[in-house]
Amino acid sequence: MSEQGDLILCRCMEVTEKDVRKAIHLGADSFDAVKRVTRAGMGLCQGRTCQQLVERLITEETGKKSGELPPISIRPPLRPTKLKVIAGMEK
Amino acid sequence: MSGLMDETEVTIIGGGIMGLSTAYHLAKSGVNTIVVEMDKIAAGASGSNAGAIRKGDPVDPTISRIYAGSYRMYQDWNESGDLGYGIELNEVPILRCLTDHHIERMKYGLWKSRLEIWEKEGLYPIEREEWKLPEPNVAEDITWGVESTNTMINIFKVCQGLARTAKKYSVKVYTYTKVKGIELSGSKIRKVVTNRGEIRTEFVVNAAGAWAPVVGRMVGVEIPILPAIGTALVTEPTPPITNHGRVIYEPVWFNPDQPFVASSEDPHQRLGITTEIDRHSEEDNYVLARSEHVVPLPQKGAKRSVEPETLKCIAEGAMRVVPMFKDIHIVRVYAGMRPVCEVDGNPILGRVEGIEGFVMAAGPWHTGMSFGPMCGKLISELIRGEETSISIEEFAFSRFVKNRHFPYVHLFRWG
Repeated sequence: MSEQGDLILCRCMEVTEKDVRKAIHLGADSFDAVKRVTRAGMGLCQGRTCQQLVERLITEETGKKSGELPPISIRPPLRPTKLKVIAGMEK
Repeated sequence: MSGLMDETEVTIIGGGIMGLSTAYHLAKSGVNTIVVEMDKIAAGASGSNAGAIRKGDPVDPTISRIYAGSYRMYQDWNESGDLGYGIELNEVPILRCLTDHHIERMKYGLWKSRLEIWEKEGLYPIEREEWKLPEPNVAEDITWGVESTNTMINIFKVCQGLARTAKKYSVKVYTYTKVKGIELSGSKIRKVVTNRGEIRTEFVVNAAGAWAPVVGRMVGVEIPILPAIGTALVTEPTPPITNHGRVIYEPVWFNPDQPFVASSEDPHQRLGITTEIDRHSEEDNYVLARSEHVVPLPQKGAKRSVEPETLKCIAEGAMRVVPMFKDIHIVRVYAGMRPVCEVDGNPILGRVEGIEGFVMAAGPWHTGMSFGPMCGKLISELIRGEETSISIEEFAFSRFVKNRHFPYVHLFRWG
């Protein structure tokens, strides 16, 4: 990707390629593990943008095939939802 | 699949704070160790709590020493970088919200034990006008509060870092590997059978959290641990809405010793809903929590679920305390299972009589992150045949056998 590694992979949380590579070198070998230590994928879009990019770096750095990576944990809600809607006060 | 996969001295079942800390300390003393985790690192309670830790306990001196030992380790890890990561150890200002109703009821004995504990820590309810940090967005009827600080850590960096450093000292960590059985030879541990093959081992450490009873049954032991469900909602990034990093509100009916009433008609009481609004110093969003109610023992591989009713109650609670939250977006919700010993709420640590090589390290309920680091050290001392630096006898499995002629003090009443 970029020469200096300052390319932003996760736009929501502003996590760079360099941050992700460092996490992988420290043993994070799945998207969830990278997410938990760098916060990539923890923002508003919940990894919709950066998951593929992060997983590409994991395969590059660890030599694992993309099919070997564990599935990511997907949790509700499907899209950002206002608290008052969850409380049932508004549809 | 079968066949021998590996051979080791100690096999730890569970890749949460208890198991990983035990692995870390064993590895540093040169003991061959394997960690088997059915999901990812910190997939259970260790990965779904708020990251608040305690430095001591005002009531129990042994627990206090364990908490203090863990806190020293966190300080050391934060500064030394031994885990590969800093762990974001921070002091966060906390506000416990009280209404006139609370204060009135306290005169007649409400939360007597809670008030005594606060008093020991030099904390008292203070009128809203006198708070050190003002809270313009907190509901108007919160007229009193108890201000203090909470020590917070990044739980993911702690767990991921412990796994990383343990591996550096040649511990093998098998994630996504399920334990299917434990083989004994006579009354002695011989093998752990997993879906990927067998591990020949001398010791098994049961650090499986809410799943500890499932592991116990593999050697014929009934372990009195139940899962207490905690649920949390993660907000979108937002500028600070509160000045305290933690704002807590417990309704008048709340009793810390019996956090929910299974038979109650009020869903807030049945699900043990209290309000916790958390914002870590290094993050720009909030986590809204929490619930606490026990569910039946999870079956192996069972997934915890987030119930709409629980979410609704937590949302109502957060909006009741800080009304501005109503228009904030939630991006993620999750639940975790706190492993709680149904007899006395204390963890179960150490050997189990009658099964040579079987060691318990599970069930710390709310305070796993405060027990975990030091317990790992104590369990590693025990396995190496040393005297533990803090006695863990009061947490032994044998306490249930000793007390069998006495009625169990059930913390939780089933409805």
